[in-house]
Amino acid sequence: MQDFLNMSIKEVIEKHPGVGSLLEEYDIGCVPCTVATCLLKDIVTIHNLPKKDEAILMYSIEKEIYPDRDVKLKEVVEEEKKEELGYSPPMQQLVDEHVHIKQMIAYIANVLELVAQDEKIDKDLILDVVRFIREYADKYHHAKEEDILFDYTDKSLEIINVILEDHVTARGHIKAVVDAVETGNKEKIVDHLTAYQSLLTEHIRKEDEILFPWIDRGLTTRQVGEIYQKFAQANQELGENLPERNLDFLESLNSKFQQQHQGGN
Amino acid sequence: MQGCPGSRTQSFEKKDQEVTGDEAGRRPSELRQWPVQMHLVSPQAPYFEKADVLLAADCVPFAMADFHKDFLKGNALTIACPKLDSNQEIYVQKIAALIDEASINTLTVMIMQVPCCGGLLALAKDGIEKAERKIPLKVVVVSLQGEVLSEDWA
Repeated sequence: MQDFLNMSIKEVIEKHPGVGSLLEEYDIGCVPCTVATCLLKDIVTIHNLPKKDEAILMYSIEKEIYPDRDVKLKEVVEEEKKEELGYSPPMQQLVDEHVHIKQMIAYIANVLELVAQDEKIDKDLILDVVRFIREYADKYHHAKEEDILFDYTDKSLEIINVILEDHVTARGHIKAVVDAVETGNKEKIVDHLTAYQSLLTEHIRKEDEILFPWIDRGLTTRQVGEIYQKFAQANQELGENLPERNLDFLESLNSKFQQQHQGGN
Repeated sequence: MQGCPGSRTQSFEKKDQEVTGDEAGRRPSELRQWPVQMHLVSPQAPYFEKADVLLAADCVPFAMADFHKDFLKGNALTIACPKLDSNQEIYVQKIAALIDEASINTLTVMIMQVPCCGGLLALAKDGIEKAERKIPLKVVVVSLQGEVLSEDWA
């Protein structure tokens, strides 16, 4: 079993598809994950299941992998359920920024509609969307994760690598969108914006529901304070104007697409 | 069972078999400063500089057997009673000074579950509001018998 615990979840599910279904029963969504290189042993820990559920899940996985083995269900003393803290203030800040990025992801659907129906590509609109993604989502938000928050984690863990890989892939899609705007390639614009949309939706879900609560559980009060001050410093270095102008742009998209929607009815 | 919950008389009689704590060994005090009472402390004291500060209601350390080990360790301390202390506007100014002048890292407010103890949290929030710097605030509510009822970032 030790070999499987140290194996990436993708390999485990490829060899034993039933393991994917078992994880899904506990809301551990590794099957649709595009990377799925996390190790089986880390996945179970990171999701912080109640000890009893964790024992049953591990028992079921071992039975799935070795159906003929006489697997024993580990006895677990029921622990008193410890109340989970809400997000710490710096983590809450990242989650709040996600709300704006998710708004942009939603507007990308409207942008894609426009690209599909208009003969001419609205280059300015698409490049403004790209600017939001590069300035707000990447420079303002992802940079705080990469340069500050992840220093408080074990960076060799696969979950951190998966998140970093998502950032790199997202940057690649956005660069491809810019290239496609320059060459007027509608199909590529649609392909890469769609891929970005789907990647970031899943990425934000992973961070909000799994990564941030897991990091929070390992932080001391002292570290929370340090991260909070470092975030404030990073935001200050970029200037108040950066979030302001990008949130104003989101607001303008909201009005634009609301008007269009009303005009279409 | 009437009157203010903060001053209502109650006894917590425990049978011998209910006492499960480890009585063996001695623990050193985790207090690393003096004074502690909020009127007496100075925000300029070196032990507050960039510290994680614990603002505990007076009754908290008496209710919690492991207060030193679980909460005081590694932190600077100040204590106050929101029900009985006078001149509490000074407390608000001191909290703001701790944040802006001593550049404290975090503030954890520990209060008892009785309603009047919520006044200490309100004072802390006023002090934070008054300060120019922003810091994380944690709130720990303790039961009359020393259990942690909640521990949340505010």
